[in-house]
Amino acid sequence: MQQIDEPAIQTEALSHRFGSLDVLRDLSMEVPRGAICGLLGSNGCGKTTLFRLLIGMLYPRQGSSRVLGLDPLRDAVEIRLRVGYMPQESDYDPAMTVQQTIDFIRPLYGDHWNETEFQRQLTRFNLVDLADLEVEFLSVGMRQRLALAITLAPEPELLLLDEPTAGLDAIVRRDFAEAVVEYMSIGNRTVVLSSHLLNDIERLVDYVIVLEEGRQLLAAPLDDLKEKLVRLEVTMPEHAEEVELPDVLSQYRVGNTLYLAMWNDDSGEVEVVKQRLKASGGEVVEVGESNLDSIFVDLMRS
Amino acid sequence: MMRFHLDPGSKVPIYRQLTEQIERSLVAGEFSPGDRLPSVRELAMNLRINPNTVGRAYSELERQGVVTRQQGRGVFVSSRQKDLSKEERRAVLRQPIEELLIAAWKAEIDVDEVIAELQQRADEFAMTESSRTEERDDATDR
Repeated sequence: MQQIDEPAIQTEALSHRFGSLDVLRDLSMEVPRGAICGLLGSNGCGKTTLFRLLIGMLYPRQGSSRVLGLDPLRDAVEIRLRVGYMPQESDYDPAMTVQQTIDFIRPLYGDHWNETEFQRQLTRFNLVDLADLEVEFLSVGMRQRLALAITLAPEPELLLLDEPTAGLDAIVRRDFAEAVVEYMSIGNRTVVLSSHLLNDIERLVDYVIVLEEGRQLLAAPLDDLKEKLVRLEVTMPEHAEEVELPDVLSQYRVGNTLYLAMWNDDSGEVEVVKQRLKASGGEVVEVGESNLDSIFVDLMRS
Repeated sequence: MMRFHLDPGSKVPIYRQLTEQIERSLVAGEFSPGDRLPSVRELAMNLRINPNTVGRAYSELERQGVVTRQQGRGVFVSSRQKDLSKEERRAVLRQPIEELLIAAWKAEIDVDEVIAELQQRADEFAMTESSRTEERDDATDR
């Protein structure tokens, strides 16, 4: 049985490689229970591979993971029933109609499938009239809505959404946001959502994990990122010498401007950094805005 | 339904934007003690935000004694803190007043001006309240 305080997802030194390409490197991370976790990272940072490892679709080279207290390899069937995974592109047979697709998938879930819920989603997504249409003729938005309705029907405890709204219009994106909020309004559920549309997910996520080259770069509650992350923009004089700084979260330089991000804990380190930069002739400005997009760019440029 | 203006990209976390706006509408008299506020689910769906965020905002307001949560019934505006003595209630203001005075000093604004500014803000709140009441009266007339 899973402990109540056990994270929804936990990985330990998880590694995977395709050929000579290391996709995940000793990834140790945790997704707290009850969170809507935004999984961020540039293309190729290992997000999709991580999802596939978590539901037992891939066998890791090294390391282990626990999902809802289960082992993705040993308990693959139970994970299939309790975790809803929606890949970036659904793998439904394009020649089958919507109805045939549903009739094919529904029995796989047996009693777990909530038909009332499912019909409600189909109606809400205007999919009812499309039952006899082949999947290949559905627009991308409609295909994703169908995939979401199917993913939600077994009422999973954990929802893994891999770039669910990439390339979709504002209306589909809104539908998805509403569906996620509705899903979460029933207790004891967790969502992990990867997306490049950071403005979209900023109002949804309350926990953020940033991956970079298969490792965890940062994991924190979003509110902490907003309240405790200090970002500095420093204009240094021409030909200034390199200033020695303590280990900050991120720093990069464009021309004479230095961009820094660091945690504002009680250690007073922020002041130390500011003083040191000023002493070297730097003009220090604290960046006032703090949206996910700009934080992400700071981290990635570092 | 309360109107909220949320800026998800702000440095101010969404839960704090919510608590501030709910407090404002209470000060403006939009709600009276005992009134029911939207449920976590209602508000989350309406604003398309994380239910945890709404929950956190309500917990914060509950901790401050502004609202009371009743399991299964909803969230209600608390009656003003009658169980505290006047002295205790005044004590709550001490810190914000000190902060205000320090901010005023830094900005080189004298105390008279601060008091005038306070009075003006209070009048503005009262005005918002009366205009809302009028709107409501209009609605009942029709």
